Amino acid sequence: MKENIKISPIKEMEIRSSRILNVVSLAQGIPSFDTPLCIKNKAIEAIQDGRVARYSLSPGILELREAIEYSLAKRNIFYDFEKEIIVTAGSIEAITASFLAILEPGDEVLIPDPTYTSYQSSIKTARGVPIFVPLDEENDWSFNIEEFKKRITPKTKAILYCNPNNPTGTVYSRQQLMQLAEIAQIHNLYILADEVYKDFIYSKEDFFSLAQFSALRKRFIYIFSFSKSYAMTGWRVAYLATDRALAEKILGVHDALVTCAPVVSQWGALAALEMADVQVEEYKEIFNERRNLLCEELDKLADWFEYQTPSSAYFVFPKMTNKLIIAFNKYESRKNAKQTSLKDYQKKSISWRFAIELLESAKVALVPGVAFGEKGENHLRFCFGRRKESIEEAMKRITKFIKLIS
Amino acid sequence: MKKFFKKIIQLYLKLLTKIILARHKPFVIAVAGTTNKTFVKETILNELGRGSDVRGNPKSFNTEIGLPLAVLFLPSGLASIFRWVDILLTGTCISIFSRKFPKVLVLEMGVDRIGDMKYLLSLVKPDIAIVTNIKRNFPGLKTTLDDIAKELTLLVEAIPKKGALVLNGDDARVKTLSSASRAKTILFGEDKSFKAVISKIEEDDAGQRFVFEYKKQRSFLETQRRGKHNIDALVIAKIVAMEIKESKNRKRR
Repeated sequence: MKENIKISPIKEMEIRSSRILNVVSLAQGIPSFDTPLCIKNKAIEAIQDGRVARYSLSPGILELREAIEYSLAKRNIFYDFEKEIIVTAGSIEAITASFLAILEPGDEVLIPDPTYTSYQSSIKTARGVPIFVPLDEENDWSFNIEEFKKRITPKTKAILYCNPNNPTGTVYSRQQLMQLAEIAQIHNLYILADEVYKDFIYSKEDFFSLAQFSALRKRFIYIFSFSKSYAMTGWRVAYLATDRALAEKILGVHDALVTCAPVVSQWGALAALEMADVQVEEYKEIFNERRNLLCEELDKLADWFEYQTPSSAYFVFPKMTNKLIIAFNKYESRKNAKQTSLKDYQKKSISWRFAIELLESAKVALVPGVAFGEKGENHLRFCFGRRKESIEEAMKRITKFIKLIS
Repeated sequence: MKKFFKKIIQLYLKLLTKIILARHKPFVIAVAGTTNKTFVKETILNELGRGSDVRGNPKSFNTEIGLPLAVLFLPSGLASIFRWVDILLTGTCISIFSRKFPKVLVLEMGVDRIGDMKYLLSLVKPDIAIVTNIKRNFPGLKTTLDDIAKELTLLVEAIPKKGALVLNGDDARVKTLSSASRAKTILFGEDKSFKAVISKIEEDDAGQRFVFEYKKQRSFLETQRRGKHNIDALVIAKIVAMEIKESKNRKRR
């Protein structure tokens, strides 16, 4: 089992890039901003008041959970802060604790392909089996409901998705989500929804969450992280909300894993909900500008990359064109160099080989698309959460690299 | 330096608050307790009808700086000194020159430390006080639950005879506060001996339903929200609305 759980390719790319001088990274999904001052001040105040030195209650401080209930209620999502909301050490802890609570060894979990790399590890940690369900690339990477149905077996226990999706930036439609809910009800499955990017949607359409569909509540787990919306990736704080009975089960696992989320971060998260709306809007505007910049730069490389403009999150997930693949294959033959730093499974993947060569030759870190699932092969993930200057410099280097290989 | 500026801002806001309240004399409803203040405030505002005549704290402004901002209906300057200067200038104009002001203020009053309530009561004189609960938050605070109860006793004592006190009878600590009251006290909860009784709570996927009995009236209420605290919020709002109505009727007579 241990062999199956590898470090996420995103983190692997960051580790590799950290060893290279003058590298520009658009790999890991980290917002370029510092945490808003109002959040830092609240955390400092809590430290000075002596409110962070000890454990909080396992599900989290009451004030924060109450503020979470309040913020969810504004979106017509109703959970009892005392019994149905658990503050966790990042969303990945929420997901892993949930799986540890609901899965038996060998249970299968359906996840979209492509989607966030760490979901696989989280499922495997709970001795489950991730089953990829291909998304429909031709249709803006939306769900293909028939593909979900095809993969349901007696061992299927849950569906996990990220909405908006990482790495494609797709916002799943209300109609598709309701179809997924129907599948879950018919086949008695849990649904876990990670809505970490919900605050960065660039279209004006209403964002629908299955958490608003109360008939699903007993089989639904809502997850949100403060990491991206409030530039708090290092604070490791998120939460989950679910029906009381399920929350009780998950709380036991959460208690065993971490006792409680970092208390100083919980106070920061409270300030985020109470005071940082303005900053979230500012970030969204800036990300939108960066998205446009990155897309304009990719347009200049239209012969080499095809992409769909993401309607949310801060990733573009372009496909390498045949022309680029052929050129890169020839370049590898010309170079005749073995990439000894690659593991066997990475050598078989063009997106891995391209990403590593790009990193070593052009000093630009991207994430190979195959890391997000087989459907992601031939793609690369660009993060535009990084600084404008980094995006510009990365695109200059990529252009130069493409000239070199073509 | 930061502390010095904070103190100056605090004192100036206190002055502005006292001026505006002395000029307009609104009916003040104070919502206190460890949790559930915001839900209760919001539910009361919904029940009374939000508008120019009824106003509550924006967000959860409920501390020594937050409460005056709530009364003056101003945003927080957060860490920006320039924003604070602007806010204080606007506050001065509102406080001295404003002609329109709500007739009813629904204000959350947050108490973390000993002395907090005394300060908040030096700013506002509530006509009705609500205490939602006194709960254990988490170990580590210098203030104990008994300290919080003592602070809330100050609020209870401050309510005038003509006023009203709405207490959560299901919370043992809150229930004992009634002994300090000069005003009419309305205990609410699931005990049939209380003046306002909640019974037959049912819950399903759609939400919660329950029976509420007060002043010989029996009503069936429901909410999509979860948890007993949201039932409490609905009940409190109904009680407060009835008390205000009665108070108005008394004045007319």
